[in-house]
Amino acid sequence: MTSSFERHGIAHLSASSLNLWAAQPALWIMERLLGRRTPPGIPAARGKAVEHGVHLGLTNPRLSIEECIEGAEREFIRQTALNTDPRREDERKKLAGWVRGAIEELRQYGAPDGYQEKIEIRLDDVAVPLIGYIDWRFSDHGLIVDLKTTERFPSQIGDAHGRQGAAYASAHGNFGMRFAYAKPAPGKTDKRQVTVYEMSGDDVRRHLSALRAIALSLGRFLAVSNDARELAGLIVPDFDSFWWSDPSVRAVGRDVFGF
Amino acid sequence: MPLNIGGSGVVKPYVKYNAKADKWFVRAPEGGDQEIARPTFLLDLKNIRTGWLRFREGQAPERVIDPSLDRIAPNPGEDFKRGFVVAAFSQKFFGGMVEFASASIHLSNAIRDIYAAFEEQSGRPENRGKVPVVACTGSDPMKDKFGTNYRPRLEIVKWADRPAELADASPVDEADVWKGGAQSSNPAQHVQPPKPQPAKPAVDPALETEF
Repeated sequence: MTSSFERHGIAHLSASSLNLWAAQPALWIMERLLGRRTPPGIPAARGKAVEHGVHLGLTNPRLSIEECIEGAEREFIRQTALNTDPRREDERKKLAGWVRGAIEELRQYGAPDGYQEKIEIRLDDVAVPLIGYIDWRFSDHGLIVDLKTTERFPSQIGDAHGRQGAAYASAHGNFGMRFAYAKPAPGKTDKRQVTVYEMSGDDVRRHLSALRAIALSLGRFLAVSNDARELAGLIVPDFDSFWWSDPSVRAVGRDVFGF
Repeated sequence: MPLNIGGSGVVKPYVKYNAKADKWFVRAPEGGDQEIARPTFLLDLKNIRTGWLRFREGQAPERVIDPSLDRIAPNPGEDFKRGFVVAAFSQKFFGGMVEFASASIHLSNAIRDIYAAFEEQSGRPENRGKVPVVACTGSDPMKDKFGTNYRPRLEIVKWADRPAELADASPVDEADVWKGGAQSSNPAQHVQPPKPQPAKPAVDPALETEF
């Protein structure tokens, strides 16, 4: 007997998918179930571009930071070539700060021996695996490090990142899981440009438990019907939420949900 | 049994004051902000709550509400500012009951002062059980390090019976109220990079065990 996930063509889950289901079920239905995805926004593109530039600097210690910044800018321009978001140019100008700060911090970790490696874990009673892709693995130190670009430091690892980290940590035995939060420029009082937080074992267990609960909730929901449109009719989107702040996303949402 | 999933579909209407532009806004029916004239409205100061608020571009607002007006919650983290949450009502200006929340220093000062007036007047026999009607009669430019911002002039112009639409209840979700140590609010600590690993000495082939 196939699972409700498989009946809807879902062969695997991810932390980001489950985070979206937990936060905005209507958006999950629109994007993940009905396939009505909109192109990634500028913040996502900047994150990938900065990660690319930082990776250049970590794997080639002789590369100057300016060359890494150029690499990040090229990647950003490539990813946003067709994007008309007015924030594009502002974000491009800030790439240098993010890359510089992150490289200066993360070069102290040495060269990573894993990058964008796929992980796969199983959650108890969940029929399909959960997959993900780590940023960097530093096996010499027993650490997985994930880079997050931000405008301001969070006070702690949030639940969404925590679930992502729990999946990565779970796939790597007793490795430590760290998040490096990078800002584009030092603050006026706090001069740090990067802060790094590490998950505790309790954090990992707690977030894995949450991932399982969320996945089970999703599985039960999908079992209600094999018709994705019918499932969409059970959920009401909250267009006031920041998740729907992009006009193109709201437009698709109105088309899907009828208001 | 209902499914415990999905959005509630309940959209919380609001009124907000932009201290930079000296303008008032409510939520437009189609979403987004709609400017309104300087309003006159019922302000439920009896149930006002204070706390730490953080508004960040493109992210959901965060708030940690004080357990009570005389007991301040600890600062939850960077960029949280002191602010307030209060219910307001005006059919004419707001279309009904709305939430009024802000961490603007100038608006908060105006609210603090009008709260003092509320405390002073609410004990009068003729005002008992009633709600103050507040009018924004103008604004004063306030110059600070961020340039010129505006502080609205708020005045209690009269007192009115509480309408059914303005519930005599807390304007915040209980989940947002700080509950001592029960709510995780300790900021995480930066962890230092690992110490460099000592270079591994070259292995003398003669010492390797052969099988």
